[in-house]
Amino acid sequence: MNRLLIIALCALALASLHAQPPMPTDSWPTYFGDYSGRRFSPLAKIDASNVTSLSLAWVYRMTAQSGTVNPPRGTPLMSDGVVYFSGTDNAYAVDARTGREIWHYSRVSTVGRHFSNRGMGMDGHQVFFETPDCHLIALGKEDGQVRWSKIIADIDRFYYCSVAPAVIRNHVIAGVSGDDLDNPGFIEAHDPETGELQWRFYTVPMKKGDPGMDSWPNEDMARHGGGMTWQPVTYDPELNLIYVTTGNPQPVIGYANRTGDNLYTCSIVAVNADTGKMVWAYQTSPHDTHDWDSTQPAVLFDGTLLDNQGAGQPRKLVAQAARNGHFFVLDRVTGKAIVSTEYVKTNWSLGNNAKGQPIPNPEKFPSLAGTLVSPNQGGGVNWYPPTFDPQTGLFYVNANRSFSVYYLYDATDNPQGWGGNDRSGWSESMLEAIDYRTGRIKWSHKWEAGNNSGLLSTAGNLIFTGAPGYSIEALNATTGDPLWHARLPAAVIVPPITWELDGTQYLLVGAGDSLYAFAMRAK
Amino acid sequence: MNRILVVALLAAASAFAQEGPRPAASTGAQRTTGDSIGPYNKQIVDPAAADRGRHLYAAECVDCHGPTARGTDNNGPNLIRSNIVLHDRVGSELGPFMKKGHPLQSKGNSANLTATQIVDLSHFLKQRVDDALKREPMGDHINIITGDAAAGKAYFEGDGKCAGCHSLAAGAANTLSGVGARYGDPVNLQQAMLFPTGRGRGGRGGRGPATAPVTLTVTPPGGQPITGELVFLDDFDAQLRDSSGKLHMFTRTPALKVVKNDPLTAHHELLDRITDKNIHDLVVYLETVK
Repeated sequence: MNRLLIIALCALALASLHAQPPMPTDSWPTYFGDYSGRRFSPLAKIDASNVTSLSLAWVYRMTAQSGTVNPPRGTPLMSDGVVYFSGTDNAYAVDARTGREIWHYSRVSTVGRHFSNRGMGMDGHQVFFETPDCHLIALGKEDGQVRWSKIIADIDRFYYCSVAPAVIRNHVIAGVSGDDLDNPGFIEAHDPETGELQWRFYTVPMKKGDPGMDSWPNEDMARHGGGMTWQPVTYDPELNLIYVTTGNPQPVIGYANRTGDNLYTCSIVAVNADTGKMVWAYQTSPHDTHDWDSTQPAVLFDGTLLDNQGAGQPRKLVAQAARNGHFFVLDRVTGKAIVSTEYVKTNWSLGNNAKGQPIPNPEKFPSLAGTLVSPNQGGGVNWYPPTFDPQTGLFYVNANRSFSVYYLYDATDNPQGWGGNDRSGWSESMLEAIDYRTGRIKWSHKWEAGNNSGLLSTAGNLIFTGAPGYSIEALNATTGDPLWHARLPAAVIVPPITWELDGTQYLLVGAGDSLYAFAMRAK
Repeated sequence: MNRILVVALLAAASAFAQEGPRPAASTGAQRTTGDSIGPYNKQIVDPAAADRGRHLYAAECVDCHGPTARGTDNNGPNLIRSNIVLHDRVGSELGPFMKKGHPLQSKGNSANLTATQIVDLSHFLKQRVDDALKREPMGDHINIITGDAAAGKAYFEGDGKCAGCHSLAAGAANTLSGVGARYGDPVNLQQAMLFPTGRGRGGRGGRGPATAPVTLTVTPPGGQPITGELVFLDDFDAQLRDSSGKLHMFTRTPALKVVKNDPLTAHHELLDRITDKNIHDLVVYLETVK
């Protein structure tokens, strides 16, 4: 091909990839840094040539009103020089330059599962977070005082609440967690100023005639069909669509009474932000029987595809590395699949159907005598978020290749709740860089031990990740070569984020009960 | 449903519940500690009260609500999905509901049930809710002895390549002599066979003998290789302990050669080849090696 033409095409491709609103550099205002879920920062003051000069700027140790701090799994937010973050029953505001505490809000949930908290949402003057006893709470950014508090789910039905809310237009979008009993998943929108409920979208059919009802044996099973929404949503402002990722069907392991695909569990669902009405849905795990929810982030980017995919025009895309080990790229306007491949080798499907969905192999359903399945219940990836770098065009994910044995405990024709479980296993972990146009692995960096960490990519051609040995580590985004690390007292659980203040680029991670901020002060 | 079958299922449900791991008996709603499934103040089931409640349930409720309280086609709703049951704490919701009058099998008046009977019934129903949870007691009763011993022996000596490392002779290296009596529940033998290190999610399997450790062989630039038990390894550091107990610590560089040796590699690779039938056959065969 003509060299000038190649350069022109590359420039066009790059331009198309930058068509989305640029990520802010002086703040980190959402769980993902922006609405897209890319977790990519255009900041480049830290790059491959100087990352070894990163220095520790401050440490903030969380406290709790009572008991010990449950290490958060969320991502902090930062705006106007203040870091906001939450743990179970606690929220904090900290000076982004010094780590000095500005306020600490604490309440004790008398009930509710204290498993984790996954972060906050914010608007101009409030932050929002969920509590184990399923309160959605608005706090003033200035003083940490409660503006309003609303109950969003019934904890006696074994819901619990942990997901980071997202503020979209004049809506605070909240989701729910909990798959111990058979309940319907949902997301709902609240007025940011009053907390009043605006709409609720159930992820499973709730009454006769609802879309997807024919994928369940009866209305009762559909209404109790699960599909929890325990990861933050992403959002396309041009389409005004929220991308909701949904959890596994119920009963989780026992499946005898839920014949069918069990829509819209294990799906990416596009929902109108103002009405809460579903526009399209794509199920990544039809009739899941392995607890592989598909709540992994739906990452939005614009890309140019290959010839056989309708090349030529930039396309609005959404990508997901799902817990079931499969990687999907969809047209995010229509919900049609463009790429559907494995990003880790699995043993549970019979290939893809015409829609690109993996076809579950009934021989790999849980059984009384045990079924060897890959991946295990933890999945190819779990809650920790991936990143997409528009400069490299690569989708990065900390992946696990794993095996376990799934047992059916309840062999009746009417299991409830779980009805089985998996046990033990073997796994190996690797950081993978996936070409979104083909689903092929461009490079894979094998970790020497298990590694479950969220990711950050930056314009400095860097990937930041937690790593084995309680490290925060930087790798070359193009090659996967390890470049820098710092050891912390505990494993990195809070995924890395970055921002720039006063000309200095910061990197923030959380490990154990503390936040660690690094700064690039070298000139 | 056949009444004899109903009684048998009720008895089985009770047996499952009683034999499984149970928290300390209590008669009330309590705040549990640490992370636990369900609300923190959920009702802790009193097994004795639940057992009394089971008899009451069999006499007054089972025809409509079924042996496991999951409802029937006989117009009996599923009680473990009932908000009254789920909101109840030792009769706090169930009592007022029964006071209003609810059909009973005996044709008696539900308002006449005593406070103790209500509490007993509450414990029985909460026990049925617990049965549905992730760590339900039914999980302790897995029958995995479904394979063919002869086929398992053939796989052991043939395609499985197990005999290449393992002998059944007492005193031999990697011997499996007596393995059928080593793990108690056969499911633990199955787990140990597939995942000898016993690590991983959900592991409750029994443990066999300690497995040989992973070793490192590190060759410094221009130096001699040093081999020992792996102490630490990541992208930047490598540490091993040699046979004399000395700790060797290295910073990883391109010139430093590091080789990890996992003695269980054959087990890991087997996971890609072995079928579920092979697994079930092998377990039955190894169970015969007492």
